[in-house]
Amino acid sequence: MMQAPASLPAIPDHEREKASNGYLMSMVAAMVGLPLPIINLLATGLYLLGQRRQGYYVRFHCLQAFYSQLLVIVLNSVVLTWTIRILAGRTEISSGYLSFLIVAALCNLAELVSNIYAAIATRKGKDVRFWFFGALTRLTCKP
Amino acid sequence: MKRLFWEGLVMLAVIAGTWSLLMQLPFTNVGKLRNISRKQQEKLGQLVIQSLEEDYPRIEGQPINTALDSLRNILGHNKKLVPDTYTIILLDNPDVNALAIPGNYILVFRGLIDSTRNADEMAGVLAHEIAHHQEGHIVKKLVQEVSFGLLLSLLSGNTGGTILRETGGKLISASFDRKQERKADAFAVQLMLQNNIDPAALGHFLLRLPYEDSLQTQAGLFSTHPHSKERAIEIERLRAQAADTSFTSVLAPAYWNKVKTRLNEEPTTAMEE
Repeated sequence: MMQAPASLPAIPDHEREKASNGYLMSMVAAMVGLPLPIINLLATGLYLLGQRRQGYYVRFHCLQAFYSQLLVIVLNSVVLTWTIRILAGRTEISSGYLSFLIVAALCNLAELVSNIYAAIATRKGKDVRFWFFGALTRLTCKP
Repeated sequence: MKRLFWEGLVMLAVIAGTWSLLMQLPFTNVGKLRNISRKQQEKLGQLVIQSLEEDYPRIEGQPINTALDSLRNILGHNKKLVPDTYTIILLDNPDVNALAIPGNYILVFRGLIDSTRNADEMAGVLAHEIAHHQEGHIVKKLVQEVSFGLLLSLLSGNTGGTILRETGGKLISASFDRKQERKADAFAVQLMLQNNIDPAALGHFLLRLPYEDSLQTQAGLFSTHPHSKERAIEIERLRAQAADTSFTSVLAPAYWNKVKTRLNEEPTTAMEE
């Protein structure tokens, strides 16, 4: 999921803190916004907008935190819709649903662990690149 | 860009692969429970009856048994139903209750017979229980209420007496959900209308249910007891849609009262007609 962090020279302390907060923001919002999966995406997006005039290090990590939400947002939305349909009696609990629930839970767990790791690493001034989302961020975030 | 593509592809493959693999795990057998064999259902039903009979003896050879079978046969005048498929067991239990249990059994408690004012009401109750069988609610209840391990044992054929007894006990205490009760009521109304029995009898019976008795602690016909009024209104609405139907009493009121009286006079002795 992640590449080994590399130490970057001369990242000012306030930039490290802001970059780290980008990851923390999604975790805090996820706790507040559950079970609505859109809340953490909104919180991370708003935080990203607020940091758009910051240096590359801050913008990169805020954007990476934002992108990393997208996968779990999609998965959680599917789970939520599927669950509502079951509760409304429109469909029944199936093996497909239970399996998808486990996949979504694993992805959420992986995202949570990655965010905690990235928040700590960026606070130390290290660079963290997530699998796929790191490459996506690098493509869209210009120095 | 190439790296982004490959990493994205790998990520999607991992997610799809995990989902696909998980679907192969044993819990997917839950879906196959619809296919619990008739033999297993029959065995399960018999164990439920056996466990109840330890406390409440079976009432047999009484005119009421004949009357109940007659009601079942009259209701069975329908292309979709085979009357003999359903076995009605009468138990000497003072509770006002009836239960549909696996194996096409319908348990009727003596308290329910006592509470009916006429045979139409009893026919309504039986139609409701037949509906639970016809709509497949019994197996659905099995899936919902019985533990996962127990279900796997049932599916694998490892159905020892203890397992079946445990399953039976859970079935007695579990109730149908409101949607299933509504469906069963609708089915019962149709069945009654087809046989010129007034469905209002079922509604009247539901409205007359006592609030302070053991109904709250046991599942069955009245497991959704607080919603009896709501159910009675819905039954009346469905009945109104067939306003041009003419109704007749399913059994003569005098005969019904007579068999009820005899049931309480000599609960263990057959009445000679």
